[in-house]
Amino acid sequence: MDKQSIGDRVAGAIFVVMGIISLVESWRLYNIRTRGVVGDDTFPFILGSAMVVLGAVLAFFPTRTRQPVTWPNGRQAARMAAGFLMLVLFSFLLPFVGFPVATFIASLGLFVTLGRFRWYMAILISAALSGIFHAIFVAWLNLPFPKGLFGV
Amino acid sequence: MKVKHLVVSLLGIVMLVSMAGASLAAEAAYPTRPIEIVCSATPGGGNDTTTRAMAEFVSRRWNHPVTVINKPGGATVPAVHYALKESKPDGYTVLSDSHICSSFMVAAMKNPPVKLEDRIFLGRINLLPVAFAVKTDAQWKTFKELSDWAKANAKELSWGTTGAHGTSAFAIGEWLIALGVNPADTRMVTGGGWNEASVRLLGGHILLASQTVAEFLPLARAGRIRVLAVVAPKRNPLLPDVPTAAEVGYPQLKGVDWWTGLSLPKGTPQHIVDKWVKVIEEMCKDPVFLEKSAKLDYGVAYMGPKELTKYVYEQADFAKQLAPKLAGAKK
Amino acid sequence: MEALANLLGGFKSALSITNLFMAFAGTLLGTLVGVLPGLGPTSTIAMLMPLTAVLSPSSAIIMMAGIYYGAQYGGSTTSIIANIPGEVASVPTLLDGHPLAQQGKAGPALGIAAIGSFVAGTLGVVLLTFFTPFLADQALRFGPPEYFGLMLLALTVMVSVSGSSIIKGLLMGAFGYLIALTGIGPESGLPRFHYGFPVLYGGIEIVTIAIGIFALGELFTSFEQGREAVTTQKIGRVFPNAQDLKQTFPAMARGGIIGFVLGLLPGCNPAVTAYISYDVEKKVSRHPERFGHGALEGVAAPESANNATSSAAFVPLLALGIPASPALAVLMGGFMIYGLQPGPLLFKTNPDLVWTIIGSMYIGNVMLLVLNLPLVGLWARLTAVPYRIMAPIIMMLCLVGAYSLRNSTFDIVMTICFGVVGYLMRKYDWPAAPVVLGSILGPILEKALVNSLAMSAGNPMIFITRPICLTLILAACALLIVSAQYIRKSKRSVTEEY
Repeated sequence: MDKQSIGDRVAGAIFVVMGIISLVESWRLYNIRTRGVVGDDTFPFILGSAMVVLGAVLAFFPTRTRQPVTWPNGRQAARMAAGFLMLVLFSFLLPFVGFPVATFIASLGLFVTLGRFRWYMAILISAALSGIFHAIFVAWLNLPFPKGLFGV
Repeated sequence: MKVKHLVVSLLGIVMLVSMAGASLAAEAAYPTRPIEIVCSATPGGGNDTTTRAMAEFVSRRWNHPVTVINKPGGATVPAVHYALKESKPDGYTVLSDSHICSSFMVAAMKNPPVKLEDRIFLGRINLLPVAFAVKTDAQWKTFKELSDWAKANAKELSWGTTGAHGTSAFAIGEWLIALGVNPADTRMVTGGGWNEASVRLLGGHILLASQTVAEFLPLARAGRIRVLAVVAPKRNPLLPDVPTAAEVGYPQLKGVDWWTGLSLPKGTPQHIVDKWVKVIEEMCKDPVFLEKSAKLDYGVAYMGPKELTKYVYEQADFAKQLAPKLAGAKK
Repeated sequence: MEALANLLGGFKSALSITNLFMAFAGTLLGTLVGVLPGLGPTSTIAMLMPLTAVLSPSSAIIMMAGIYYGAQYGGSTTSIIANIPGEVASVPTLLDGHPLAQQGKAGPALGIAAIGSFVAGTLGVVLLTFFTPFLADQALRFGPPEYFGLMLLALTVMVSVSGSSIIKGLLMGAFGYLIALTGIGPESGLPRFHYGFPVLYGGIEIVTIAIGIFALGELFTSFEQGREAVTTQKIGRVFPNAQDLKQTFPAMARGGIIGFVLGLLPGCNPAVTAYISYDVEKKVSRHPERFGHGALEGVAAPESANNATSSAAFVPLLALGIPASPALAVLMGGFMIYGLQPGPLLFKTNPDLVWTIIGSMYIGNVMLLVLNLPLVGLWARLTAVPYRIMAPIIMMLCLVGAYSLRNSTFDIVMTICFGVVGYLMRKYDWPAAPVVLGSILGPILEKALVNSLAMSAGNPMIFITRPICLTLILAACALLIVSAQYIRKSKRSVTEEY
């Protein structure tokens, strides 16, 4: 079995699961519905059924391969994973340290991992970026970011 | 080792003392940080414009930054939850409250994520009664004509509401029950606020709408819709020609009072609560705020915290006992 | 005609120095805001409300209106250069716009987008000038059943943007719609798929899907492929040439008309019209296989459509006082702060103001063209900047944009999750456009269905007894058959249906 069809089968299975979740929610909504021919449960039911059926079809009859699926090798994968973690880090840090600091840390991480910059260059660019973002989004546009420990 | 211990302990004590001092000073000095008022409406919608007017007054009065942050959607749950449960009760996060966030939320949901007891009501600021309106060229020219027709043709009556437990559903539901009609027999068309409902009303897709007087104003003044009655003790100054429900024979209708106010989470220190109660009272007398509200067509009707709390619980009870009888009620 | 006389009067005051400056400030700000992903005209206009204290009504409203339609221009820039949809309405633009950028043709793409937007936007304002009351009343005839028919029609677009596998396209569309189902249900007003979490009462924001899947997904994929920059080709011409214009003019006209007509319906937002006009363009083209790989018409059509829709959205606002979208609701708030009420009465009580605003809209469109064309060269050059620098910046921009939607970190997390989804989708060749389409159209379709049956007390005949609705449903069926035939004919070699 080539990679593409494994992918399709797995995806098909995932959709079947999603479809079932939708059907479960549809059932819950059906029970609290009181009137009418349609309700909030109707479309979750339609979608859920469609997903289960189509997902099963895909899982059993995956599309024929067109292109090989490759995964990144060790170092690249590590960098990508790290970059991804930087984004997640940003969302967690934001309420705690405030916008400029969180931006600085996250972009520093991104410039080092995905940008492959050296530390000192990355620090410089990240600082500049945080400053510019703060100027545009907070000082000028007044976006209400949470103010963290540092009160910024 | 010992010296290190000593230094660390000293540092610890210094920190504790300064923190205690700082919080004492903070108590005396509130507010020291910018204050956020959380609004459950999208910018420009619902009670957003009046919340901004409130923020502007408080900011001016205390000479201190007060910003409005919008957390729209989710039947106001995200905004209410954020302001009352997720934020510290330190007075720096205030909820721009309304009946939708409080009394009607607990009536509509069996297990509301935020209950009335979780908050301290600071005062009522705006008050708008609801009214009933139909298209101008509709067959009914008076409220009585509409009521009589509705009694006889309940199954044909289509009306709009945001949801099965929206403001309109309660207002119209109460009226239908007073007529002796079962709301479930009528055609409730849900979804969207006044924007959608007004289009449907004008297009003839629904026959009746119930909204606050302010929302009806533009189309009423332009002659596109006819407001048949307003549910309030007195006629409303915005539409002085519209009779009250009592005048046209339905004194028992309580209607839904659309009100706005401010609330703080339970557990906020008393001195902060008192400051807010005072500033709200001043707000409702301030000429600039009154003028702004008038331009927005929002009536100002101050009510103090104790009375408001009582009022909200009463409104919640009213809604709770009405809810099961409504068109979209759960079995 | 009386309208013409009023319009000339409106031009006169719109051309005053103050008002010109206001129009310029508004359109500039709007463009910038449109460029930033996620950040939209709604919050920008809201933030500038305090200025109403110091500005005259016409100045303030001219500026706010400028922000509103300026934002549509900005959205296409990031779509083309970085595959980031500035807002959902810009998604169809990137389907062909970004491939063009990758071929080093960002300049012509951006230029056509700007010109198409100008042509359609201006056309929209012309129609607005002369036909506002009539158009508004016609639009009122669209009730829930008609919307249902229209949405069915729009859904047929799903088939043609499914790429090579209709099953995958349909699954993606269902997925998109499922995401949009989270939140408050249209019938009961109670939450769905929230599992007790208060933050989920608000549902999942559609824009986070678009930003995550398209922008973040693309960036991670590009890194993996070792791409140096958006384009490594030499940046050729920076402006579109006469041939490009000739080629795309019909697309602009079609897109503009579709965008305007559909934009008259409150609730039909620029995203819907952009998708529909993209699909129409693809269907009428002699070489539809070019679409998705860098067809200029694929940029001209949606861009024209979404700008025409912005102009059309002013029709219900001025004629009836009904704002067609959240941004316009804020704009309306701006009117009300001055004690003015947009609506039929405004034409009678403050005709000068209304005509000044309309006059200013013409000027604003010209200004946007003048503003954006010179910048095309600058933006185009950005496509050669290495990803090393651009990727982190773009990623951070995406996160900030996501936050700005509802001031919620939850949206940031969602965007990142969808970024992963987008990356995986690219790996396994799943089409992304149906997801966004499903998430926009699904809720409108559902609401229309629920409301239609409520109106008819459960009688499904309502769809057949109303002429406009019936026409739309039949048209949808016809289009579906056409699409299916086309796919069968041209892609015999790939198995798609079972």
